[in-house]
Amino acid sequence: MSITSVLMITLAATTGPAATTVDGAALSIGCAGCHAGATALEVGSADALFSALEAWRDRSDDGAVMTRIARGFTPEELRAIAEYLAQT
Amino acid sequence: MTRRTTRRQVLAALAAIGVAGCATRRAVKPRVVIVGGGFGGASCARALRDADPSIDVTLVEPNTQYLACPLSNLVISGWRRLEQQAFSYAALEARGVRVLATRASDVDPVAKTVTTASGDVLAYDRLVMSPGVELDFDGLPGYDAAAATRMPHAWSAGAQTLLLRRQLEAMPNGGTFAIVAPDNPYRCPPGPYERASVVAHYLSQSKPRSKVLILDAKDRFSKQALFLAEWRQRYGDLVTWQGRSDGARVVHVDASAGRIETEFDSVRADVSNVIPPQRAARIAARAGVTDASGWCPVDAATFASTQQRDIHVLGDAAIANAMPKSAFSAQAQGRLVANQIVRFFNALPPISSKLINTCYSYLAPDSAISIADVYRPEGERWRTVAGAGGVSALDATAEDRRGEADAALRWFNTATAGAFG
Repeated sequence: MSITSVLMITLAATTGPAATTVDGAALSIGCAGCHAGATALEVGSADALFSALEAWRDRSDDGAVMTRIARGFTPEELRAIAEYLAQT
Repeated sequence: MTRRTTRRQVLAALAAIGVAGCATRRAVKPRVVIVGGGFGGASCARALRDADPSIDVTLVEPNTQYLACPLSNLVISGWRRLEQQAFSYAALEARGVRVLATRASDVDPVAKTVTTASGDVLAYDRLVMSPGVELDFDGLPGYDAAAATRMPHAWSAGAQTLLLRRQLEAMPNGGTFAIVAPDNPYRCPPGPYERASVVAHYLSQSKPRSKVLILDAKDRFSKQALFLAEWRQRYGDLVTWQGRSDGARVVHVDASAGRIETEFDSVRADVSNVIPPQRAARIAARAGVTDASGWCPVDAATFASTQQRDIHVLGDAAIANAMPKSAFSAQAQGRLVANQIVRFFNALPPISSKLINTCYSYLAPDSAISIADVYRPEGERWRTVAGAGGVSALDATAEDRRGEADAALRWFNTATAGAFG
Protein backbone atom coordinates (compact mmCIF):
# COMPACT_ATOMS: atom_id res chain seq x y z
CA MET A 1 0.00 0.00 0.00
CA SER A 2 1.34 3.42 -0.92
CA ILE A 3 1.71 6.20 1.60
CA THR A 4 -0.67 8.30 -0.49
CA SER A 5 -3.46 5.75 -0.24
CA VAL A 6 -2.89 5.38 3.50
CA LEU A 7 -3.21 9.12 3.86
CA MET A 8 -6.39 9.18 1.78
CA ILE A 9 -7.92 6.46 3.93
CA THR A 10 -6.99 8.33 7.08
CA LEU A 11 -8.51 11.56 5.83
CA ALA A 12 -11.63 9.65 4.85
CA ALA A 13 -11.88 8.43 8.43
CA THR A 14 -12.68 11.91 9.60
CA THR A 15 -14.21 13.63 6.61
CA GLY A 16 -15.13 11.37 3.72
CA PRO A 17 -18.16 9.29 2.83
CA ALA A 18 -18.38 5.67 3.87
CA ALA A 19 -16.88 3.20 1.45
CA THR A 20 -19.09 0.31 0.40
CA THR A 21 -17.31 -2.67 1.84
CA VAL A 22 -18.23 -6.32 2.08
CA ASP A 23 -17.38 -6.75 5.75
CA GLY A 24 -18.52 -9.92 7.49
CA ALA A 25 -18.46 -8.36 10.97
CA ALA A 26 -20.64 -5.42 9.95
CA LEU A 27 -23.03 -7.52 7.83
CA SER A 28 -23.47 -9.99 10.69
CA ILE A 29 -25.00 -7.24 12.82
CA GLY A 30 -28.23 -8.02 10.99
CA CYS A 31 -28.03 -11.70 11.98
CA ALA A 32 -27.36 -10.86 15.64
CA GLY A 33 -30.83 -9.34 15.97
CA CYS A 34 -32.24 -12.87 16.25
CA HIS A 35 -29.17 -15.08 16.58
CA ALA A 36 -27.00 -13.75 19.41
CA GLY A 37 -26.06 -15.06 22.81
CA ALA A 38 -28.28 -17.85 24.11
CA THR A 39 -29.92 -18.27 20.72
CA ALA A 40 -26.62 -18.44 18.83
CA LEU A 41 -26.66 -20.59 15.72
CA GLU A 42 -24.90 -23.91 15.52
CA VAL A 43 -22.73 -22.50 12.80
CA GLY A 44 -20.35 -25.29 11.87
CA SER A 45 -18.11 -24.58 8.90
CA ALA A 46 -18.27 -21.50 6.72
CA ASP A 47 -19.13 -23.68 3.71
CA ALA A 48 -22.04 -25.34 5.52
CA LEU A 49 -23.42 -22.00 6.69
CA PHE A 50 -23.03 -20.47 3.23
CA SER A 51 -24.95 -23.40 1.73
CA ALA A 52 -27.67 -23.02 4.34
CA LEU A 53 -28.01 -19.28 3.61
CA GLU A 54 -28.19 -19.97 -0.13
CA ALA A 55 -30.87 -22.57 0.50
CA TRP A 56 -32.93 -20.01 2.44
CA ARG A 57 -32.45 -17.45 -0.31
CA ASP A 58 -33.49 -19.86 -3.06
CA ARG A 59 -36.73 -21.07 -1.46
CA SER A 60 -39.70 -20.36 -3.70
CA ASP A 61 -42.13 -19.15 -1.00
CA ASP A 62 -41.44 -16.20 1.26
CA GLY A 63 -43.28 -17.45 4.32
CA ALA A 64 -40.08 -17.73 6.29
CA VAL A 65 -38.43 -14.58 7.62
CA MET A 66 -35.02 -16.02 6.65
CA THR A 67 -35.99 -16.31 2.98
CA ARG A 68 -37.21 -12.71 2.86
CA ILE A 69 -33.95 -11.58 4.47
CA ALA A 70 -31.47 -13.78 2.57
CA ARG A 71 -32.77 -12.40 -0.75
CA GLY A 72 -31.42 -8.99 0.26
CA PHE A 73 -27.79 -10.11 0.16
CA THR A 74 -25.44 -10.90 -2.71
CA PRO A 75 -23.60 -14.25 -2.81
CA GLU A 76 -20.42 -12.36 -1.91
CA GLU A 77 -22.11 -10.86 1.14
CA LEU A 78 -23.56 -14.21 2.25
CA ARG A 79 -20.09 -15.73 1.89
CA ALA A 80 -18.56 -12.96 4.04
CA ILE A 81 -21.23 -13.46 6.71
CA ALA A 82 -20.63 -17.23 6.74
CA GLU A 83 -16.89 -16.84 7.03
CA TYR A 84 -17.17 -14.28 9.81
CA LEU A 85 -19.67 -16.28 11.87
CA ALA A 86 -17.73 -19.52 11.42
CA GLN A 87 -14.61 -17.98 12.94
CA THR A 88 -16.28 -16.25 15.91
CA MET B 1 -7.06 -3.70 0.56
CA THR B 2 -8.70 -1.40 3.03
CA ARG B 3 -9.69 -4.25 5.28
CA ARG B 4 -6.14 -5.45 5.74
CA THR B 5 -4.78 -2.06 6.71
CA THR B 6 -3.89 -2.20 10.37
CA ARG B 7 -3.82 0.79 12.63
CA ARG B 8 -0.11 0.26 13.12
CA GLN B 9 0.51 0.45 9.37
CA VAL B 10 -1.53 3.62 9.15
CA LEU B 11 0.27 5.24 12.06
CA ALA B 12 3.66 4.17 10.79
CA ALA B 13 2.89 5.62 7.39
CA LEU B 14 1.62 8.84 8.89
CA ALA B 15 4.69 9.16 11.11
CA ALA B 16 6.87 8.60 8.07
CA ILE B 17 5.31 11.51 6.25
CA GLY B 18 5.08 13.72 9.28
CA VAL B 19 1.32 13.81 9.84
CA ALA B 20 1.30 13.54 13.60
CA GLY B 21 -2.01 15.18 14.47
CA CYS B 22 -4.28 12.25 13.75
CA ALA B 23 -1.88 9.72 15.15
CA THR B 24 -2.04 11.19 18.64
CA ARG B 25 -5.77 10.66 18.84
CA ARG B 26 -5.23 7.27 20.49
CA ALA B 27 -2.73 8.57 23.05
CA VAL B 28 -5.48 9.09 25.64
CA LYS B 29 -8.29 6.70 26.43
CA PRO B 30 -11.08 7.48 23.96
CA ARG B 31 -14.29 8.58 25.61
CA VAL B 32 -17.79 7.79 24.37
CA VAL B 33 -20.87 9.19 26.09
CA ILE B 34 -24.21 7.59 25.25
CA VAL B 35 -27.45 9.43 25.98
CA GLY B 36 -30.38 7.04 26.39
CA GLY B 37 -30.38 3.45 27.65
CA GLY B 38 -33.00 1.83 25.42
CA PHE B 39 -32.35 -0.91 22.88
CA GLY B 40 -30.15 1.38 20.77
CA GLY B 41 -28.05 3.02 23.47
CA ALA B 42 -27.62 -0.07 25.64
CA SER B 43 -26.66 -2.25 22.66
CA CYS B 44 -24.18 0.36 21.47
CA ALA B 45 -22.61 0.59 24.95
CA ARG B 46 -22.19 -3.15 25.17
CA ALA B 47 -20.84 -3.51 21.63
CA LEU B 48 -18.23 -0.83 22.29
CA ARG B 49 -17.00 -2.57 25.45
CA ASP B 50 -17.05 -5.97 23.74
CA ALA B 51 -15.04 -4.64 20.82
CA ASP B 52 -12.45 -2.67 22.78
CA PRO B 53 -12.28 -2.54 26.62
CA SER B 54 -9.91 0.42 26.42
CA ILE B 55 -12.79 2.66 25.35
CA ASP B 56 -14.29 4.65 28.22
CA VAL B 57 -18.08 4.30 27.89
CA THR B 58 -20.56 6.32 29.95
CA LEU B 59 -24.30 5.71 29.61
CA VAL B 60 -26.63 8.49 30.79
CA GLU B 61 -30.11 7.16 31.52
CA PRO B 62 -32.49 8.50 34.19
CA ASN B 63 -34.45 5.28 34.71
CA THR B 64 -32.76 2.67 36.91
CA GLN B 65 -34.76 -0.04 35.20
CA TYR B 66 -35.78 -0.18 31.59
CA LEU B 67 -39.36 -1.09 30.71
CA ALA B 68 -39.38 -2.54 27.21
CA CYS B 69 -42.14 -1.56 24.78
CA PRO B 70 -42.03 -4.68 22.57
CA LEU B 71 -44.57 -7.19 23.92
CA SER B 72 -46.06 -4.53 26.23
CA ASN B 73 -49.34 -4.77 24.28
CA LEU B 74 -49.55 -8.25 25.82
CA VAL B 75 -49.59 -6.65 29.27
CA ILE B 76 -52.69 -4.72 28.19
CA SER B 77 -54.42 -7.94 27.07
CA GLY B 78 -53.40 -9.68 30.31
CA TRP B 79 -51.00 -12.24 28.81
CA ARG B 80 -47.83 -10.82 30.36
CA ARG B 81 -46.96 -9.03 33.58
CA LEU B 82 -45.24 -5.64 33.45
CA GLU B 83 -42.39 -7.08 35.54
CA GLN B 84 -41.52 -9.30 32.56
CA GLN B 85 -40.80 -6.12 30.60
CA ALA B 86 -38.27 -4.80 33.18
CA PHE B 87 -34.50 -4.92 32.75
CA SER B 88 -31.72 -3.46 34.89
CA TYR B 89 -28.38 -1.94 33.90
CA ALA B 90 -26.38 -4.11 36.33
CA ALA B 91 -25.02 -6.38 33.58
CA LEU B 92 -23.83 -3.40 31.53
CA GLU B 93 -22.07 -2.02 34.62
CA ALA B 94 -20.43 -5.42 35.14
CA ARG B 95 -19.16 -5.13 31.56
CA GLY B 96 -17.42 -1.88 32.47
CA VAL B 97 -19.98 0.65 31.27
CA ARG B 98 -20.28 3.59 33.64
CA VAL B 99 -24.05 4.02 34.07
CA LEU B 100 -25.22 7.38 35.40
CA ALA B 101 -28.82 7.31 36.62
CA THR B 102 -29.57 10.88 35.67
CA ARG B 103 -31.00 12.85 32.80
CA ALA B 104 -28.84 14.53 30.19
CA SER B 105 -29.92 18.15 30.44
CA ASP B 106 -27.66 19.80 27.87
CA VAL B 107 -25.09 19.13 25.17
CA ASP B 108 -22.37 21.54 24.11
CA PRO B 109 -21.23 20.30 20.70
CA VAL B 110 -18.37 22.81 20.53
CA ALA B 111 -16.85 22.06 23.94
CA LYS B 112 -17.90 18.41 23.37
CA THR B 113 -19.54 17.99 26.75
CA VAL B 114 -22.80 16.60 28.11
CA THR B 115 -24.27 18.18 31.24
CA THR B 116 -26.51 16.06 33.44
CA ALA B 117 -29.39 17.02 35.71
CA SER B 118 -27.26 16.01 38.69
CA GLY B 119 -24.56 18.48 37.67
CA ASP B 120 -21.95 16.28 36.02
CA VAL B 121 -20.12 17.63 33.00
CA LEU B 122 -19.01 14.73 30.82
CA ALA B 123 -16.39 15.28 28.13
CA TYR B 124 -16.61 13.07 25.04
CA ASP B 125 -14.68 12.28 21.89
CA ARG B 126 -17.80 10.78 20.30
CA LEU B 127 -21.33 11.30 21.56
CA VAL B 128 -24.06 8.75 20.78
CA MET B 129 -27.60 10.05 21.16
CA SER B 130 -30.29 7.39 21.36
CA PRO B 131 -32.87 9.37 23.33
CA GLY B 132 -36.00 7.93 21.74
CA VAL B 133 -39.24 9.80 21.20
CA GLU B 134 -41.28 12.18 23.26
CA LEU B 135 -45.00 12.61 22.83
CA ASP B 136 -45.79 15.78 20.95
CA PHE B 137 -48.41 17.38 23.17
CA ASP B 138 -48.61 20.30 20.75
CA GLY B 139 -49.52 17.92 17.94
CA LEU B 140 -53.08 16.97 18.88
CA PRO B 141 -55.31 19.76 20.28
CA GLY B 142 -56.74 18.90 23.69
CA TYR B 143 -54.28 16.08 24.35
CA ASP B 144 -51.65 16.74 27.01
CA ALA B 145 -50.12 15.03 30.04
CA ALA B 146 -53.29 15.63 32.08
CA ALA B 147 -55.50 14.24 29.33
CA ALA B 148 -53.30 11.15 29.20
CA THR B 149 -54.42 10.22 32.72
CA ARG B 150 -57.96 9.76 31.35
CA MET B 151 -57.14 8.78 27.78
CA PRO B 152 -53.93 6.79 28.12
CA HIS B 153 -51.47 6.59 25.24
CA ALA B 154 -49.63 3.57 26.69
CA TRP B 155 -46.90 4.40 24.15
CA SER B 156 -44.13 4.11 26.68
CA ALA B 157 -44.24 1.04 28.91
CA GLY B 158 -45.05 1.47 32.59
CA ALA B 159 -47.85 3.20 34.48
CA GLN B 160 -49.62 4.08 31.22
CA THR B 161 -49.67 0.41 30.19
CA LEU B 162 -51.23 -0.60 33.49
CA LEU B 163 -53.77 2.25 33.32
CA LEU B 164 -54.95 1.09 29.90
CA ARG B 165 -55.13 -2.50 31.19
CA ARG B 166 -57.33 -1.39 34.12
CA GLN B 167 -59.60 0.60 31.81
CA LEU B 168 -60.00 -2.41 29.52
CA GLU B 169 -60.85 -4.65 32.48
CA ALA B 170 -63.40 -2.12 33.76
CA MET B 171 -65.04 -1.67 30.37
CA PRO B 172 -68.61 -3.03 30.17
CA ASN B 173 -69.61 -5.77 27.75
CA GLY B 174 -70.99 -3.94 24.72
CA GLY B 175 -68.59 -1.02 25.17
CA THR B 176 -66.25 0.57 22.64
CA PHE B 177 -62.46 0.59 22.89
CA ALA B 178 -61.16 3.37 20.61
CA ILE B 179 -57.57 3.53 19.38
CA VAL B 180 -56.43 6.85 17.92
CA ALA B 181 -53.50 6.12 15.59
CA PRO B 182 -51.09 8.86 14.47
CA ASP B 183 -49.75 9.77 11.06
CA ASN B 184 -46.21 8.67 10.13
CA PRO B 185 -43.53 8.80 11.39
CA TYR B 186 -43.96 7.38 14.86
CA ARG B 187 -42.47 4.70 17.10
CA CYS B 188 -43.48 1.11 16.26
CA PRO B 189 -45.50 1.37 13.03
CA PRO B 190 -47.48 -1.90 13.49
CA GLY B 191 -48.01 -1.26 17.24
CA PRO B 192 -51.53 0.25 17.13
CA TYR B 193 -52.77 -2.67 15.02
CA GLU B 194 -51.18 -5.34 17.16
CA ARG B 195 -52.87 -3.61 20.09
CA ALA B 196 -56.22 -3.72 18.30
CA SER B 197 -55.69 -7.46 17.70
CA VAL B 198 -54.84 -8.45 21.24
CA VAL B 199 -57.57 -6.23 22.75
CA ALA B 200 -60.05 -7.79 20.31
CA HIS B 201 -58.98 -11.24 21.46
CA TYR B 202 -59.56 -10.29 25.10
CA LEU B 203 -62.96 -8.79 24.29
CA SER B 204 -64.02 -11.75 22.14
CA GLN B 205 -63.41 -14.01 25.14
CA SER B 206 -64.66 -11.81 27.99
CA LYS B 207 -67.00 -9.15 26.57
CA PRO B 208 -68.04 -10.35 23.13
CA ARG B 209 -70.62 -7.64 22.41
CA SER B 210 -67.89 -4.97 22.55
CA LYS B 211 -66.15 -3.14 19.71
CA VAL B 212 -62.64 -1.98 18.85
CA LEU B 213 -62.69 1.19 16.75
CA ILE B 214 -59.45 2.43 15.17
CA LEU B 215 -59.46 6.09 14.14
CA ASP B 216 -56.43 6.54 11.92
CA ALA B 217 -54.73 9.69 10.64
CA LYS B 218 -53.44 7.75 7.61
CA ASP B 219 -54.79 5.55 4.86
CA ARG B 220 -52.09 2.90 4.82
CA PHE B 221 -50.38 1.06 7.65
CA SER B 222 -47.86 -1.69 8.29
CA LYS B 223 -49.00 -5.26 7.44
CA GLN B 224 -52.38 -3.74 6.50
CA ALA B 225 -53.77 -6.53 4.29
CA LEU B 226 -52.76 -9.16 6.85
CA PHE B 227 -54.29 -7.33 9.80
CA LEU B 228 -57.54 -6.58 7.97
CA ALA B 229 -57.94 -10.19 6.81
CA GLU B 230 -57.06 -11.64 10.21
CA TRP B 231 -59.41 -9.30 12.10
CA ARG B 232 -62.26 -10.29 9.81
CA GLN B 233 -61.53 -13.98 10.11
CA ARG B 234 -60.85 -14.11 13.85
CA TYR B 235 -63.01 -11.38 15.29
CA GLY B 236 -65.75 -10.83 12.68
CA ASP B 237 -67.05 -7.25 12.91
CA LEU B 238 -65.61 -6.66 16.37
CA VAL B 239 -62.75 -4.56 14.89
CA THR B 240 -63.47 -1.52 12.71
CA TRP B 241 -60.68 0.49 11.09
CA GLN B 242 -61.32 3.94 9.62
CA GLY B 243 -58.61 5.85 7.78
CA ARG B 244 -57.93 9.42 6.74
CA SER B 245 -60.04 9.13 3.59
CA ASP B 246 -62.95 8.04 5.79
CA GLY B 247 -62.62 11.32 7.70
CA ALA B 248 -61.30 9.46 10.75
CA ARG B 249 -58.28 11.69 11.40
CA VAL B 250 -58.69 12.97 14.96
CA VAL B 251 -58.47 16.76 15.17
CA HIS B 252 -59.35 17.36 18.84
CA VAL B 253 -59.94 15.45 22.05
CA ASP B 254 -61.83 16.51 25.17
CA ALA B 255 -60.56 14.19 27.89
CA SER B 256 -62.86 15.40 30.68
CA ALA B 257 -65.94 14.96 28.48
CA GLY B 258 -64.55 11.68 27.10
CA ARG B 259 -65.00 12.91 23.54
CA ILE B 260 -62.87 12.33 20.44
CA GLU B 261 -63.52 14.59 17.46
CA THR B 262 -62.61 13.48 13.97
CA GLU B 263 -62.83 15.55 10.82
CA PHE B 264 -66.47 14.51 10.34
CA ASP B 265 -67.68 13.04 13.59
CA SER B 266 -67.64 13.06 17.37
CA VAL B 267 -67.05 9.77 19.16
CA ARG B 268 -67.62 8.83 22.80
CA ALA B 269 -65.84 5.60 23.64
CA ASP B 270 -65.75 3.68 26.92
CA VAL B 271 -61.96 3.49 26.64
CA SER B 272 -60.00 6.03 24.58
CA ASN B 273 -56.44 5.00 23.81
CA VAL B 274 -54.95 8.11 22.20
CA ILE B 275 -51.55 7.64 20.54
CA PRO B 276 -50.44 11.19 19.77
CA PRO B 277 -47.84 12.42 17.25
CA GLN B 278 -44.23 12.12 18.36
CA ARG B 279 -40.86 13.76 17.85
CA ALA B 280 -37.27 13.20 18.92
CA ALA B 281 -36.81 13.60 22.68
CA ARG B 282 -36.06 17.15 23.82
CA ILE B 283 -32.35 16.63 24.50
CA ALA B 284 -31.86 16.11 20.74
CA ALA B 285 -33.14 19.63 20.09
CA ARG B 286 -30.90 20.98 22.89
CA ALA B 287 -27.93 19.37 21.15
CA GLY B 288 -28.88 20.96 17.84
CA VAL B 289 -29.30 17.68 15.99
CA THR B 290 -33.02 18.00 15.14
CA ASP B 291 -34.32 19.68 11.98
CA ALA B 292 -37.64 21.42 11.32
CA SER B 293 -39.41 18.05 11.27
CA GLY B 294 -38.54 17.46 14.92
CA TRP B 295 -36.40 14.43 14.00
CA CYS B 296 -32.64 14.05 13.46
CA PRO B 297 -31.07 13.92 9.99
CA VAL B 298 -27.99 11.69 9.75
CA ASP B 299 -25.45 10.40 7.30
CA ALA B 300 -26.97 6.98 6.72
CA ALA B 301 -23.98 4.65 6.92
CA THR B 302 -22.54 6.10 10.13
CA PHE B 303 -25.59 7.70 11.76
CA ALA B 304 -23.40 10.77 12.21
CA SER B 305 -25.52 13.89 12.62
CA THR B 306 -25.50 16.04 9.50
CA GLN B 307 -25.76 19.09 11.79
CA GLN B 308 -23.19 18.48 14.52
CA ARG B 309 -19.75 16.95 14.26
CA ASP B 310 -18.79 14.09 16.56
CA ILE B 311 -22.41 13.22 17.40
CA HIS B 312 -24.18 10.08 16.21
CA VAL B 313 -27.97 9.87 16.47
CA LEU B 314 -29.67 6.49 16.25
CA GLY B 315 -32.89 4.68 17.12
CA ASP B 316 -36.33 6.26 17.11
CA ALA B 317 -34.98 9.84 17.14
CA ALA B 318 -33.02 9.46 13.89
CA ILE B 319 -34.36 9.90 10.38
CA ALA B 320 -33.53 6.46 8.97
CA ASN B 321 -36.08 6.68 6.14
CA ALA B 322 -37.12 3.17 5.14
CA MET B 323 -35.95 1.70 8.44
CA PRO B 324 -38.86 1.78 10.91
CA LYS B 325 -38.65 3.16 14.42
CA SER B 326 -38.41 -0.23 16.11
CA ALA B 327 -36.38 -1.88 18.86
CA PHE B 328 -34.86 -4.23 16.27
CA SER B 329 -33.72 -1.30 14.12
CA ALA B 330 -32.36 0.63 17.11
CA GLN B 331 -30.35 -2.34 18.33
CA ALA B 332 -28.86 -2.97 14.89
CA GLN B 333 -28.06 0.73 14.50
CA GLY B 334 -26.44 0.81 17.97
CA ARG B 335 -24.18 -2.08 17.03
CA LEU B 336 -23.30 -0.55 13.66
CA VAL B 337 -22.46 2.79 15.27
CA ALA B 338 -20.23 0.99 17.80
CA ASN B 339 -18.44 -0.66 14.87
CA GLN B 340 -17.99 2.72 13.12
CA ILE B 341 -16.74 4.41 16.31
CA VAL B 342 -14.14 1.68 16.89
CA ARG B 343 -13.02 2.13 13.28
CA PHE B 344 -12.82 5.89 13.80
CA PHE B 345 -10.66 5.55 16.92
CA ASN B 346 -8.38 3.26 14.93
CA ALA B 347 -8.11 5.75 12.06
CA LEU B 348 -9.98 3.41 9.72
CA PRO B 349 -12.53 4.80 7.26
CA PRO B 350 -16.24 4.26 7.93
CA ILE B 351 -17.88 1.44 6.02
CA SER B 352 -21.19 1.23 4.24
CA SER B 353 -23.02 -1.96 5.18
CA LYS B 354 -26.55 -3.32 5.03
CA LEU B 355 -28.89 -3.67 8.01
CA ILE B 356 -32.02 -5.70 8.71
CA ASN B 357 -35.27 -5.10 10.52
CA THR B 358 -37.77 -7.75 11.60
CA CYS B 359 -40.94 -6.98 13.56
CA TYR B 360 -43.49 -9.48 14.83
CA SER B 361 -47.06 -8.59 15.75
CA TYR B 362 -49.35 -10.78 17.80
CA LEU B 363 -52.88 -11.52 16.56
CA ALA B 364 -53.82 -13.81 19.47
CA PRO B 365 -51.85 -15.49 22.28
CA ASP B 366 -50.63 -18.29 19.99
CA SER B 367 -50.50 -16.46 16.70
CA ALA B 368 -48.33 -13.74 15.13
CA ILE B 369 -47.30 -12.23 11.78
CA SER B 370 -44.05 -10.61 10.74
CA ILE B 371 -42.50 -8.02 8.47
CA ALA B 372 -38.84 -8.15 7.51
CA ASP B 373 -36.69 -5.99 5.26
CA VAL B 374 -33.08 -5.47 4.28
CA TYR B 375 -31.75 -1.92 3.93
CA ARG B 376 -28.72 -0.27 2.37
CA PRO B 377 -27.32 3.20 3.08
CA GLU B 378 -27.11 5.66 0.23
CA GLY B 379 -25.91 9.14 1.17
CA GLU B 380 -28.38 10.48 3.72
CA ARG B 381 -30.95 7.77 3.01
CA TRP B 382 -31.57 4.22 4.12
CA ARG B 383 -33.27 2.45 1.22
CA THR B 384 -35.03 -0.89 1.10
CA VAL B 385 -33.17 -3.51 -0.94
CA ALA B 386 -35.43 -4.46 -3.85
CA GLY B 387 -36.44 -8.08 -4.27
CA ALA B 388 -36.08 -8.84 -0.59
CA GLY B 389 -38.26 -8.45 2.48
CA GLY B 390 -42.00 -8.58 2.89
CA VAL B 391 -44.66 -9.83 5.24
CA SER B 392 -46.01 -13.24 6.29
CA ALA B 393 -48.21 -15.05 3.79
CA LEU B 394 -51.91 -14.15 3.77
CA ASP B 395 -52.86 -17.83 3.52
CA ALA B 396 -50.40 -19.16 6.11
CA THR B 397 -51.51 -22.08 8.27
CA ALA B 398 -52.33 -21.84 11.97
CA GLU B 399 -49.10 -23.71 12.55
CA ASP B 400 -47.14 -21.01 10.66
CA ARG B 401 -48.79 -18.31 12.75
CA ARG B 402 -47.97 -20.22 15.92
CA GLY B 403 -44.37 -20.56 14.78
CA GLU B 404 -44.14 -16.79 14.36
CA ALA B 405 -45.61 -16.24 17.85
CA ASP B 406 -42.84 -18.47 19.23
CA ALA B 407 -40.28 -16.60 17.12
CA ALA B 408 -41.54 -13.28 18.48
CA LEU B 409 -40.88 -14.36 22.04
CA ARG B 410 -37.46 -15.79 21.12
CA TRP B 411 -36.58 -12.49 19.43
CA PHE B 412 -37.61 -10.52 22.54
CA ASN B 413 -35.46 -12.71 24.79
CA THR B 414 -32.49 -12.43 22.42
CA ALA B 415 -32.82 -8.68 21.95
CA THR B 416 -33.16 -7.89 25.64
CA ALA B 417 -30.26 -10.21 26.53
CA GLY B 418 -28.17 -8.49 23.84
CA ALA B 419 -28.96 -5.04 25.21
CA PHE B 420 -29.20 -5.60 28.97
CA GLY B 421 -27.62 -9.03 29.57
